[in-house]
Amino acid sequence: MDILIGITTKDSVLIATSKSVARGVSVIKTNDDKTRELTDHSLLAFSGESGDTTNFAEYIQANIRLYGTRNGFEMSNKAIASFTRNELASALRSRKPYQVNILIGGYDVKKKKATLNWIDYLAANVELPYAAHGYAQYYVLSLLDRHHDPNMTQEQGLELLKDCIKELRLRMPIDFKGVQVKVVDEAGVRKLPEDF
Amino acid sequence: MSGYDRALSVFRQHPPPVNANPSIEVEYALEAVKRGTCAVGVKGRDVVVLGCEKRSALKLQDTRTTPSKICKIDKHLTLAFAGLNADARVLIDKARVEAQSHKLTLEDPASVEYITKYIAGVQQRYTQSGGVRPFGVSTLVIGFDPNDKVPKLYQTEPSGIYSAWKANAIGRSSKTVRDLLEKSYEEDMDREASVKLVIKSLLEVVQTGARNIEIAIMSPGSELELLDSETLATYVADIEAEKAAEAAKKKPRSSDQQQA
Amino acid sequence: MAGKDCIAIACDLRLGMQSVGVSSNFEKIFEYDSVYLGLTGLATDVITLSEEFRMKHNMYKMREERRMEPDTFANLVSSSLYEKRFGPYFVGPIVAGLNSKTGKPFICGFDLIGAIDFAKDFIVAGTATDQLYGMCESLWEPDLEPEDLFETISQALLNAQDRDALSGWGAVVYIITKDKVVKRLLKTRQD
Repeated sequence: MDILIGITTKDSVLIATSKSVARGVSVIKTNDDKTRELTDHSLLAFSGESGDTTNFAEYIQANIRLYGTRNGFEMSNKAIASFTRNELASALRSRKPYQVNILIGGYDVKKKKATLNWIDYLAANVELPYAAHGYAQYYVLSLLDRHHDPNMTQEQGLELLKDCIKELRLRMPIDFKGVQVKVVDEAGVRKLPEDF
Repeated sequence: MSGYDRALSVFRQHPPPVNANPSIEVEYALEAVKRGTCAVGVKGRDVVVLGCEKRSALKLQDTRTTPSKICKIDKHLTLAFAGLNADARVLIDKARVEAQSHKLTLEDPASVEYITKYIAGVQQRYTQSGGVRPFGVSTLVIGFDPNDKVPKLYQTEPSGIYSAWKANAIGRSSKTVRDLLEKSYEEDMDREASVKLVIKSLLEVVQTGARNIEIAIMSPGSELELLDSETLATYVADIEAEKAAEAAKKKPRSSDQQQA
Repeated sequence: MAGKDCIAIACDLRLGMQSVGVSSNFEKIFEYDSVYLGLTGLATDVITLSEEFRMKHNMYKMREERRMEPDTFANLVSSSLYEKRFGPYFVGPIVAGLNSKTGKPFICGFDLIGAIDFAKDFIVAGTATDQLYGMCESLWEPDLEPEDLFETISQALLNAQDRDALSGWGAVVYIITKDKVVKRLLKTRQD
C-alpha cells in the first residue's frame, strides 16, 4: 500500500508520498511521483488502484486548469476539494468507480492560510490539520496527534515529518523506497531534496 | 427571394456577394468579420505580438469586467479575433477545452498549429452542418510550441481556411493595415520593434489612439503579457512624434499618403 | 427530542473508518432555515445528501416563495431516499423542527430507503442506537422546558457515546424554540 501524508503548518502544507511502485511481489519503480499540481498553489496527492489514480488525477488537473483559463482566476482550495469530491462521488455510484484516495494541499495567498483536504475513495471529504492514507495512518496519526501544532513553523513541520518517516521505516513491513516531499506555500509548489 | 432569410440560423443583411466561397452563408460570415474591430499580429525574432482595436466603452460600462478580444487558450497559446463577440466566445471555449483535453490524453501541450487546425476544423464543420450557421469570426492564434523558441502566428477564417503568417491583420480596414505591414515588416525584429510595428499599424485605423488599443506579447516559456496603458501611451507618443517629424520632412511635397 | 414548544437535536463529531478516527470536527446536523436534519452513516452519502437537500430546499423556496415546513421536508427526504430504492444511500437521517404556523414540535426518523418513523418523544440513529434508546427511555419525559431538554438530550448523547467505541470525539447540541436557536458545543472525553 502506498503512503500519503499531509501536514499543515502555520504558513505551508507538507505532502509526503512514497516513491515505490509494486506489482505483485516485485518493486517496479523506486522514484514514483504520486502528485499533480492543480494550480500554482495547490497540490493533489493520490494512491489506490493503478490506472485509476493517474487517470483521475490528470482529469481533475485538466478541469481545474480549464477553469483557470476560462475565468481568468484560479479555483479556491475549498472549491477544488469539493469539485474533486463530487467527481469521485458520482463515479462511486456508476458502473466503474474510481478507487483513489486523495490529499489536496493548498495555500490561499490572499488569506495567507494553508489547507489540507482528506478525501477517500468513497468520496468523503474533510478538511484536517494533518492526515494520512493507507496503512501509514496506523503508525503516523498517533504521532501527529501528540506532536502537531497548527502554529508550528515549516521547519518544525519538516522535523515532525522526518519523525513520521522514521517511524514508518521502523514499523512498515515492506520497503516503500523512501518518500518524496513537496511543500505548498506562499511561493507555490516545490519539491524538496532527498534528505529535506 | 430565396428561403434563406426565413431560418433563425441564417445571416441576413446585404445582397449576397458572389465569388469562390462555398456558400452565401460563409459570405455573410466574412462580412461580419469585416465589420468587426481590427486585430493585428506580428512575429519578431523571439516574440510574437497581438494588437487589438478596443471598442470605446460607454460612459456607464464597467470596463474591468467587459471581456477583451485577446484571450488565453492555454499558458502557451493566445488568440485574438475579429467579428461577432458572442460567436467568438463559443469558439474560444471549444479551443480551451481542446487544449486541456490534448494535454490530458497526450501528456503534451497542444502545438500552435494543432489548436489552429482544431479551431479551423470547428469553423468548417459549421459551414456544412444542418441547422447551424457559420461562426462570424476570424482569429489570429499566436504562441510557442512546447519546448520551442520559434514564434508562431496563424489565422483562421469562417470558411475553415487556416494559414501561417509573418504578420497579418483581420477585421475592419484589415487591407489598409496589411498594406502597411507589408511595407514596414522586417525579418528578425526584436521585442521593441515588433510591438512598435503592431501599434503603428493599428494607429492607421484606430482614431482615438492609445486609449482604444490593446497589446499582448508572448515570449518563449513565459506567460501572456498585456501591455499596461502607461507603456502603451509612451509607445503611441513616440510613434506620433516620428510621424510628425517625417511629415515635416516631406512638407514641400503635397501629401502622397492616403488614408482609408 | 421533543419538549414543550421546543425541540433539540444533537450529534457527536467523530468521523472514522472502522477503528481509525479521521476527524474530530465532522458535524452531522444540517440547517435548512428552521428545519434541522441529522445525517449519520457513510460519510460520503452524508455529504452528498446534505448538499442535495440544500439544493432541493433552495429550489422549493424560490418556486413556492415560502419556507419549507418540517413535515414537508420529511416527505422530501423520504421520497429522495426511496428514489434510490435499489441502490440506496447508506444513511440514517432524522428531521426536527417547529411548525411555523402551529408552533408544534415535529420530529421523525427514517430508514435508509425512506420509510418514515414519526415520533412524539425522541428519535435516535447511528452506531450507538441501542445505548441511546436506553438513555432516552429513562431520561426523557413529556413537556420539558428548553433548558431541561438541553440537559436531557446532552446527558443521553454523552452517556450513550461513552459506551460506544465508534462514537464520541466531541458533541454538538441545538436547542430550537419559537424565536431562538441555541447551538452548544460539548467537550467530551477524546478517546
